[in-house]
Amino acid sequence: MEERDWSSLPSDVLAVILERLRWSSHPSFALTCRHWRSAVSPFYPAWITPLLLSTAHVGVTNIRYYSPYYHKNFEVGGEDGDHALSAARGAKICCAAGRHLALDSPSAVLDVELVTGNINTVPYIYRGNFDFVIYDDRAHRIFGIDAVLPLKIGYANWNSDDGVWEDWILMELGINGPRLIPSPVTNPVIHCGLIYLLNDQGGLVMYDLCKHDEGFEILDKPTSFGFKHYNSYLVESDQNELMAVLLGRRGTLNHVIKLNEKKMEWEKVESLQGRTLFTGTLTSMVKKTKFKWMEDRVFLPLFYRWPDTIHADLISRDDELAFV
Amino acid sequence: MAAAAAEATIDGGGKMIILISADGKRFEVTEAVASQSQLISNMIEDDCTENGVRLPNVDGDILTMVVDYCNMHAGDAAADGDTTKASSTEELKKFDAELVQALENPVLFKLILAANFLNIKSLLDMTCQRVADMMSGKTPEQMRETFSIENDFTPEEEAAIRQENAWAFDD
Repeated sequence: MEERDWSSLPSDVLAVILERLRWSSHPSFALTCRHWRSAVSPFYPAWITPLLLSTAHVGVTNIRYYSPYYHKNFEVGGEDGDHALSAARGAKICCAAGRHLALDSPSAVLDVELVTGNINTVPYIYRGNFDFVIYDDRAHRIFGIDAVLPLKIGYANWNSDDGVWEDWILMELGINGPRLIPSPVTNPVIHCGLIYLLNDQGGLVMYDLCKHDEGFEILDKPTSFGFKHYNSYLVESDQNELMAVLLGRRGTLNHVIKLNEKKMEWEKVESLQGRTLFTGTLTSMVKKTKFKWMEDRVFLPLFYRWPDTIHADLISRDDELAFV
Repeated sequence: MAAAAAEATIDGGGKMIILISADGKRFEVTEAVASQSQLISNMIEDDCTENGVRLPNVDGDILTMVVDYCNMHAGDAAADGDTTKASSTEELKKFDAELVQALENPVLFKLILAANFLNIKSLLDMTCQRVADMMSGKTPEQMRETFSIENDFTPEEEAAIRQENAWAFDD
């Protein structure tokens, strides 16, 4: 029998191998030889930078991510209706954490597992919709915040044994609760075991995760940002600072500020110190990426000038996600 | 009645067929074992296994491994009910892991081709998984070295591919 070598593997076999190879090794595979390269199909890695979830209210069944790295939008799910999200028609996108996406529908909060398409319903709440829904770090607890005055908060825990969300633990209704209107464009942020909400002027309200019954407390300070702005976004940086991003009317960046927690005042951040700020959506992030060209920059999804939108599936290989 | 029923159950597994490797070695296996190969299963259906099945693409030593594998896995293919014959799942896993770990590169290569040609999905999946594991985290140079592949790209082509996937190759 004639000796053949690895570079001559049939294309269908190469396809089977690629299905089992983590995404980050695909480029090396493609660079091995021409024949191998021909088996590699294009994909966009989803893990290399944070993605910004664009929460346009049009077509909620289509989840749209903006990738700053590619300057492209990726739309997951679609009109064909076979995607699990079609079951969530009419729901509002609240936030994403890792592979979880929280939606608020008129009847319940939905926790969507993006890769599997599973939808876990967090049981019915009698009060109707939440204004904000956020996860804790590992998506094991979900918080719902009702911003109709006074502010109210509830939470539900993920029961990993049974694979279900437990019932909401809500607050006693008190008319004397704190009255602060949080900015609707930015999600609450968990910072040092506390949940912070920001109002349009720069004031903060805080909730202690360990003292649920006490509910929200309005902080005396800060009272104002001290800078001009049109929209403001709250974010916890990768170095544990509570920051806010102030944008001008057309999405121009005015200032990045952080909370001086001794003086309880907002201070201007002079430099991101090599980090990258992703903002302009409900959830903002300050992180270090591995790309030099992204250092010290601020990325906003461009609502006014739409970049290309690619319809894609989100596929996981060996714990890495990619748009295909 | 009882006899007819018994005959019916062994009918699938009882009939023997002969597989003949490229170098003329003969292997006698039951139809149940052989039909894990989609190729042979189709041939059985078409009734063309009477005079033995010639496999000109598969060497005797590779076919030995394939037949061993199919014998071990004959249980899980026809798993419904007959648990006495089926090896336990644990045992099978151990057998598979040892089989695939022990393979030298050239043997692994031939086994993949045989699994592909014979169309035995589980064996193909398992051997391809092994290859994917060997590749994971390697640079193109390391991959070429592992699989003795010659770089047939021009420097320009190589640069273009690196450019397309800049995120993967440093920054």
